[in-house]
Amino acid sequence: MESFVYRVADKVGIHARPAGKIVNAAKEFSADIIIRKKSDGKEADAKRLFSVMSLAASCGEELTFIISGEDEAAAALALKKLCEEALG
Amino acid sequence: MTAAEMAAKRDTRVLTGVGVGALCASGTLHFWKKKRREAQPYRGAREEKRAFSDALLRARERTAVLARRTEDAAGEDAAAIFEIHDMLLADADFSEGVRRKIDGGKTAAKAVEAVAEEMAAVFEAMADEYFAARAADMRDVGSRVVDELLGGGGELPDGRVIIVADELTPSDTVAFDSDKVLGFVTFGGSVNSHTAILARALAIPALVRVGEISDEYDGAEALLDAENGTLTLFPTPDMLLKFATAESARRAEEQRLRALISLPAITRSGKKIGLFANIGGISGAEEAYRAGADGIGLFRSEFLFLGRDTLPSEEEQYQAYSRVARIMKDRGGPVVVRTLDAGSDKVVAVLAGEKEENPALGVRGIRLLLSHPDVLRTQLRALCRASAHGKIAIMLPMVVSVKEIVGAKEIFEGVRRELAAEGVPMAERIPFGVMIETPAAAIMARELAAEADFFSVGTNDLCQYTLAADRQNSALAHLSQSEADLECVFRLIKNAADAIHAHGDGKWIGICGELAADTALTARFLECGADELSVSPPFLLKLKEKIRLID
Repeated sequence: MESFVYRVADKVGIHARPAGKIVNAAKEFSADIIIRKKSDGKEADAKRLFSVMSLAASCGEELTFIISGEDEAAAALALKKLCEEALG
Repeated sequence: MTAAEMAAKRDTRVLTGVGVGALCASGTLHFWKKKRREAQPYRGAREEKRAFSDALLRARERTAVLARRTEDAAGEDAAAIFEIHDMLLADADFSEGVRRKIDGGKTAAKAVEAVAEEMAAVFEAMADEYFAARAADMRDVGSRVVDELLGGGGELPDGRVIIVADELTPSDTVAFDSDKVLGFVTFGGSVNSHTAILARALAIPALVRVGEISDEYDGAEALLDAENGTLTLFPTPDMLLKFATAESARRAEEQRLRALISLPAITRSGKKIGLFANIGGISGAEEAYRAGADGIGLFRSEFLFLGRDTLPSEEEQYQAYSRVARIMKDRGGPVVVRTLDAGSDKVVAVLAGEKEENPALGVRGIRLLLSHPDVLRTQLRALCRASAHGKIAIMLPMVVSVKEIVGAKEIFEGVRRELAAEGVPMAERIPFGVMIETPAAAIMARELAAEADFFSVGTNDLCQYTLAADRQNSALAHLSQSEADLECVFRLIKNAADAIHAHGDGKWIGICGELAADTALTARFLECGADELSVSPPFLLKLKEKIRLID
């Protein structure tokens, strides 16, 4: 299992477009990817747009990505990079 | 229906209405947003699931088409929402939810409606305004699938059709692929309605005030003749032959006009008239350029704002304006961008205020902009930045007094100073003009000319306000039909033109309303002192031909 924490930097939060980017990136991997929101413990399946958007993760929120499966290391690396570079 | 009734339905029948333009079309009728077909009974889980999968696929195809069309018209940012729509359609939560409901005994359409509503409710319950607004997207996406399942939605079928509707709204028009529409037929409306304006812009025939037509005629063969104001259902072979002959004559005329593209718009006595184009987006600019327009006399920026639930960003606006500026760069005339003209019948959701008793006389045009200075500032920043790429000019809508121009110019000067401090490249001079759409502006033109660099007459509103006749009210259409009816408007224009020219300094006045395209009035507009005429791209060459025949 791999995991990393990302603090939401976009001022409107994880809105539709960044959620879409996460889902597209997550779908590239076979590993199960769960996003857990710190403030209320809500979890989302990173491969499902509605699920990710339902987190309603706003700016400053701490999200933990929990990744488990064969390609977990690569998935963690790719998602971390996406969060830091593309989502700010 | 009995067999006899069916046969009777196929009888040739001629309906009359008021034609817009002089064009004809032959094709099948398509009822726009007609009532959906009666929901079908449950056909078993397997059948319903298959229907759902097919509909989902078609809905995603439609979404891709909408995305492409929006991108062409308004840029990548505006089209981004459709990418999200596609992902929502492709989302496993959606399809699994629908399949579960089908297993539970719901038809595909009912299941889609229910799941879309459940998902929308989740968004709606979110505290964050942005997320709550996604509920509308979810419902939109759901109804697109239901449209595919039940038919009769606001989508066009394959092949070219004549659109039949009660009346079309400006946001309906965003959905049209102009290549697929042969003509419009509306039950109500007038020659100034949105349907008519759109028909002129696309250079296709329209027939308004036809009265209600039963949607049993959906898919019927028809001949639409705007010149004679008739719609013929199930035309005879004879009629179709006559239509084909007329069509080939029209094509011959088109060729004659094409020869005028590179010739100047100059009267016999040698007066050069600016022949400009009215456009609503990038594709209009390209069409105007191809038809030899000297400039853009009216770029309606509201097309960037309508049909969405957020405001376009500065960057998105900058992209659109600078693209048009670059397209027209080697032409002599400017690209006149009218700042957002919302309010009245053009509702921008995020700026909509309280419901007004009388929106035509309400908070619209410059009034709305001055009450939302941030919106104006963003637009002016985008325009100033775009001025580095061509001859951008700025025009304010619905002005009635000098103080409105002064108020807007203050914001404009502030924006210029700000951008200069940021080191952003801009044109040295950006002409700042106003629309003459109110009798007040026409009467006070002398005073306005002290503050504005140029003027453009919006004849639609100027007629409506001068004659106190709502332009969408078909019962009043007879008040503005002939040149004599419009004498009051011509006098106002002449008064304004005289005052503006007396001011000197190269100040000019143009006509950018619908009437500018009426070649029967061209000589009259020039007599009144118009320096420039601006029309939809399809009318440019006909108008040039007319100008070249005037002494």
